Amino acid sequence: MPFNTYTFLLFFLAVLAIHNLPLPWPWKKTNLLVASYLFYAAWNPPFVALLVVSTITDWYAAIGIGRAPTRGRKRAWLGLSLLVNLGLLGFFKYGGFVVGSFTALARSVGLDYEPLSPDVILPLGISFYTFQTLSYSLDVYHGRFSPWRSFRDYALYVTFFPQLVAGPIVRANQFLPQCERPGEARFGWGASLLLIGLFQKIVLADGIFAPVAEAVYRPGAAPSALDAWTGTFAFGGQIYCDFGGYSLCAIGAALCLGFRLPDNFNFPYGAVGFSDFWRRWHMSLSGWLRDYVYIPLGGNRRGPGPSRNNLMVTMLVGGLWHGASWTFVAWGGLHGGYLVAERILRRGGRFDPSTLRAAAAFPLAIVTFVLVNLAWVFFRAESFPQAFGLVATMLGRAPEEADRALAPSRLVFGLGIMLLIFVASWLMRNRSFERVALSLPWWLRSICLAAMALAIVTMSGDDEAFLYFQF
Amino acid sequence: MEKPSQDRVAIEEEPWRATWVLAVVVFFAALGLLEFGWRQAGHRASVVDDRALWSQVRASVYGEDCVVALLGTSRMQLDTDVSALEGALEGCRVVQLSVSGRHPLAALRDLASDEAFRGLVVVGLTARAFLPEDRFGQQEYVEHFRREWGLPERAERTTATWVQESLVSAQATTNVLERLRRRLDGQPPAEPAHTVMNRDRSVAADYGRSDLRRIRARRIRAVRSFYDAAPLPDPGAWLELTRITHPWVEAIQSRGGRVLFLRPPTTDETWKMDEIAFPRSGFWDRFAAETGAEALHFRDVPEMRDLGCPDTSHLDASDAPAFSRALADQIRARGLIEERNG
Repeated sequence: MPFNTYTFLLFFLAVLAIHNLPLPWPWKKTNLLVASYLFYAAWNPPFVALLVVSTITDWYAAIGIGRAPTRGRKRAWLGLSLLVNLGLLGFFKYGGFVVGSFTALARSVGLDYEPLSPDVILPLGISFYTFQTLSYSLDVYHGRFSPWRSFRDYALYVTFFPQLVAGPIVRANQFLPQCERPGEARFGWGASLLLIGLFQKIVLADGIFAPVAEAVYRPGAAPSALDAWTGTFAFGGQIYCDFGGYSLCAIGAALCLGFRLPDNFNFPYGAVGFSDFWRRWHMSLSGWLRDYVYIPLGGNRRGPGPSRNNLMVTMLVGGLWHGASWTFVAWGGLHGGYLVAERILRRGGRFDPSTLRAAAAFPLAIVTFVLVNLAWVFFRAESFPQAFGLVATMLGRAPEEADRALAPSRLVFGLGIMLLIFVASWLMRNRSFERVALSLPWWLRSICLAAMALAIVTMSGDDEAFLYFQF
Repeated sequence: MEKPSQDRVAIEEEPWRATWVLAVVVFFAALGLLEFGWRQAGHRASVVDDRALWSQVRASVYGEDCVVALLGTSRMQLDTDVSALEGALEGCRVVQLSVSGRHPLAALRDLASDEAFRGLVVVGLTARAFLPEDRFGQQEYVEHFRREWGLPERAERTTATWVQESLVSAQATTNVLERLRRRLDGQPPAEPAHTVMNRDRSVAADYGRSDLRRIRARRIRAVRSFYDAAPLPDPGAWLELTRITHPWVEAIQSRGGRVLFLRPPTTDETWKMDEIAFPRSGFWDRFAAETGAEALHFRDVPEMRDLGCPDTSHLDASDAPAFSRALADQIRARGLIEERNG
């Protein structure tokens, strides 16, 4: 039941109606919990069991960690949590990938190995809720958070439907304290965020960017250099508007119910440098990777060399988190490489691009923007040959059969709109989204909301699932 | 959770009621103006066909004493008037499962494998439907119904249908982005569609509202390019291809259902090209003789033969009721309904 469906609208109105009845707070939380399970079951009912297993495992693991008298016992409970969560994730998400990679390796050394190919369906949102529940166990283990008292609250934390299937990845200390007493529903701003998110998804991602990216990335396409850049920038726009739109919808829907979720995007295409980019892009994931992978690996405590290795490992994990394919790993590795190179160029922190004046920082922002988009090639391509072919084309080595295939409208949509997004992100990079909204008079906000709603009705593209659902 | 930023608190505490009231007023005023403009320009609301709508209609083939499932391509959709056919076959429910541009064998196979289906299947097809390249073109519709159709999608599709049949602004021909794209690419704006689809997937074509010369020329061009490109089988090889339907016919008829293969009308250039490629005597008549099901060629029924296809391939909505009544007469005359109900 994605946000961009009528079913979700009806479902959400029903949940809101019940949530606003004069009922005791525990009943309202139960309503949200039941609604969250229904929301998930609407996709594939049997996989609700996975959600239940993940919830119960971490609930008892956290209690076990909290009560364990020795470090060893604590570790054992944490091990259980890691085993179950990463086991489920590994089986459902990476089983085929591991078998496929092993088969390819065996064939490369001359072994004729033909494995069984189990037809495993990837459960919706498993990467998100697995990381979320793991963060709870890890926080309890490290003493950053105490085991929560109410199982219902905890179950709601794991399953809360606005962010269940595509984030933001919420930490226990961000969500569970909000369960203690009813939060004030901020319906006006929450509904605005929901509408803005839908506009981003339906009009920008699906209507404008997706057709351009698909024309360039379809199997067998042989685009010219201009087309390859256009298609790649269009994909950069598509994934930003798709995922950023989802995050806004999630935050807005939660706010309508009285819960605050953390921001997930902050004008990432206005970033100056790659550290800055990752402070603005998918912030809940980059924060998770920092706290639960990079820092436990040693962070930057052991000097420049190990810290670069830790950074690279963290980004490779981040790449793999996005999808069970070596192209995602390459994408993560590319960003790891960007970050390491940036650290070297920053000479151990003595040079900080974010302190530069605008005129000096702007060229760096352009470089960041272009390189980030170049990396999307590996994220979007179906295979390495396709990715390397596109990169070669973009760098001026187009194959002979390459043809200018994109119509003028595709260039306008792919390049023009993305350029607007870049300029707008640059101009607003030091302001919050809320500050930008506050700077508009109330009547102009009305007109903007009405225009976006009208655009949703009159400009919708093909109905596409949210890209991040596949992760 | 860390305290929300000042900006966040400030924007949440803005007086949103007035903002939203004005937004709603502006939205409906603008939408109303757009609707008025599009309707004045000749655009009409139409349900958008997709696999979910097909599945919704497919799910309704059960439960009645008399169900007539129509399979085929756009010809069956445009040529048959579901209401007229239901009126002529009193007590029967007519279910439109034809899909534009996709040959119907996959749907026939699906109904044959469905033990709960015991109705009459009218399969509208030409000789091309049996060619191996795309004879199972409707398979993805079947798979969608088998694997994905359920309560959430039913709710989604029902609501979408209601919106689509209410709003002209939500149509493909009025899509602002698409119109902008065409303008940037130097193409003329999309004309009002000459067809309207209803929630039961019946389609009515009003060629009086269209640039008929252009549509007709495009249709003839498409048929010609198919026949120019396709290597066509000889009658014997083609007949062998048609035998794939024999077990499906047998399965349906063995549990009390019936099957009627119908060659729907084509006229003028399209009919001539069809006849050159697949002359009736060498193809259709031989198929009809050995199919095991009923077979009906439009040329054998004066009420069907005398109807003209404005684009050489489909009937106008004004002729669809007459065609449907003639089809109903044939169904009754061949005992395809009475036998079952009797």
